[in-house]
Amino acid sequence: MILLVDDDEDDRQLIGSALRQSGVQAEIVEADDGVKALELLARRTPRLVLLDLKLPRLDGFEVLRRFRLDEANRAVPVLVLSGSDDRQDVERAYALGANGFIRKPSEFAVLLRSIAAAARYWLEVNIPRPPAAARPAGPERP
Amino acid sequence: MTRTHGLGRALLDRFRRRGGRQARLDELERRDFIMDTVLRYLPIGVWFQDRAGRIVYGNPAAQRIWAGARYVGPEEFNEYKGWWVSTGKRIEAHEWAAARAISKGEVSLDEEIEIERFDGARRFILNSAFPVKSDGEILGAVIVNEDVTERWKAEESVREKASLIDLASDAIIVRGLDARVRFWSKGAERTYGWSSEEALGKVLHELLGTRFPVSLEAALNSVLEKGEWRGELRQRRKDGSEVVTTSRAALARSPDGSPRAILMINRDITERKNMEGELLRANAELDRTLEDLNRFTYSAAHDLRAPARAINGLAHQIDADPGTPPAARALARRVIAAARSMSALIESQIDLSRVMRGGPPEEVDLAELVREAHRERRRAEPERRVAVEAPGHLYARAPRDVARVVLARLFDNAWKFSSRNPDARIEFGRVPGREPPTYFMRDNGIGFEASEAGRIFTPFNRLHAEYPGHGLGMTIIRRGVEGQGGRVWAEGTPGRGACFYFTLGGEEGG
Repeated sequence: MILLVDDDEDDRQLIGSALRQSGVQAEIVEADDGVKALELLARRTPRLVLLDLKLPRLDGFEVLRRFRLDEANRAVPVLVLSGSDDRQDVERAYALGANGFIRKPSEFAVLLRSIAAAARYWLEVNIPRPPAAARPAGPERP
Repeated sequence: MTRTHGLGRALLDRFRRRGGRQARLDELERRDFIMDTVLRYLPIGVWFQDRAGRIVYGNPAAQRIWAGARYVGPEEFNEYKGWWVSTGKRIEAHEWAAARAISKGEVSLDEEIEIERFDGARRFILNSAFPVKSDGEILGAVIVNEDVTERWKAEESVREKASLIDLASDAIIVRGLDARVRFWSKGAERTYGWSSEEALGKVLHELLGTRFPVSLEAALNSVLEKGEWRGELRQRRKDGSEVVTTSRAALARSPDGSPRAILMINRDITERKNMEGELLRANAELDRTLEDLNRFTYSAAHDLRAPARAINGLAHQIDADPGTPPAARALARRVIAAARSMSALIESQIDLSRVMRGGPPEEVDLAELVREAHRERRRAEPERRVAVEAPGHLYARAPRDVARVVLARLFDNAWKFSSRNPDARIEFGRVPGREPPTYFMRDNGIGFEASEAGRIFTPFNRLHAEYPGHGLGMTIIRRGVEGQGGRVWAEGTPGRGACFYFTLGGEEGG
């Protein structure tokens, strides 16, 4: 199961679609605020969490912080999504235990590549590589 | 010799001829001696005339004044050339004070006359004449000449200087070492409202309630030690209002070198100060407005990202859906293209806001920012292969956001315009030995004509319309580096590539 937390319905649609187009077969569960996300996380342990930072009720930082409090959850990869690329947000997300930071680009094609690269790396699944001409970049770590 | 040796003797001869007594003669001898001595050393010209009006004697000073002497009678006084100072008219023979003294017994004192000496030089003299009488009979006359040329010149010069000093709008003040006012110009009256009569003799800093930027003692010591002091003073006018002046003070010394007085010139800059304050306030207001505007455009552009992404992304879904009819698919692709164009504009607006906002300078690794820009481009266009060369580290002090935007934009530019070269190459580095540190981003793309180098940085001006873009990238780059006190310029050769150089102010780098 992959948990996708984002309050923007359009973004959930696009990211979900990007995951599918990247070849991800897993079930995608969606949450549109931080509290619902934590409730879902309390019941099920996903293989990957895609977590937007700007969320109603409980923001992404807080969700991440509380999720990481439980030792058992530390192995679950969490990729933070953000419409902003504020450096402080990036640093804070990594400090709280994020495994990656994906800036939501305004172009779907770019989003698709970022999601595909991240999914392939973090899910360690046999997602077939796209043909060479459209090969996504490998994992990028600063 | 008699004539050149003193009138005393000349007169005496005549008195003798009139048959005086012996005792009286002795007394006259004695007086003659005294008079002779006095006349010889007196710095004032003295002439004597006999009863006929003929000039019979001129003392050495008189002969110096006229550069000679003419022993002539009244009818020949024309030989002495003179003009009335008051009217400028030539003095006729009968008009000379000497002529009037003899003919009418008139006493004339200090008539102002300009003369032409016997050597041709012009002088100003005070001319006096009075008759010598005995029992009502005119025995002769005494003429007294005083050369006042130098004195008048000096006085005139002083008068001119004084009126100049009064003409000056600056307050010109002389204060003694006891701090009391000794001179107070009209400008001082205008500046401070105190009249010269009111100010003279008063302790200057008490009269004006002077507040010094340093202490009074420090200012005074500077004047005494260095001979001068400059600074800004806050003082009070007579009506109590505050006046701000720039003050220059200099030490005046006695001929023996000892300090004598302090000369001051104070310029009223109250209005300028007020205007400066006004200007600063207006500038601060403008800055705030710009900042507000910048913040607004930034957040507006930022918030436009999500809908642009939705439009673009959802149109992609329609495009990708196998059930979409071909006509709808064509429309979806046009929506995608339009949304992409909109996204680019939004990103430009965000970047422009970022470089305008600036931020605190910090140590930034420019080479790392170039690699970051490269990763970003590779993610967007993974099929492209570009050789990128950059040093391991290249540090500079700049606001991180500004440096990141500038380098990303320069890199994207190089990336874009080298896209048709299968062996594309982008090189980033620092120009060796150049100060202030100068960085370059070089590509082997399409380049440009040298004549177009200046147009590159004009907003919305696109040199190569066949490449995507809005013509804002270079504007953002320029705004970014110029905001840091740096500059950016470009060199290019058509078909060979372009090289962009920039500095980030005078900051140390590398």
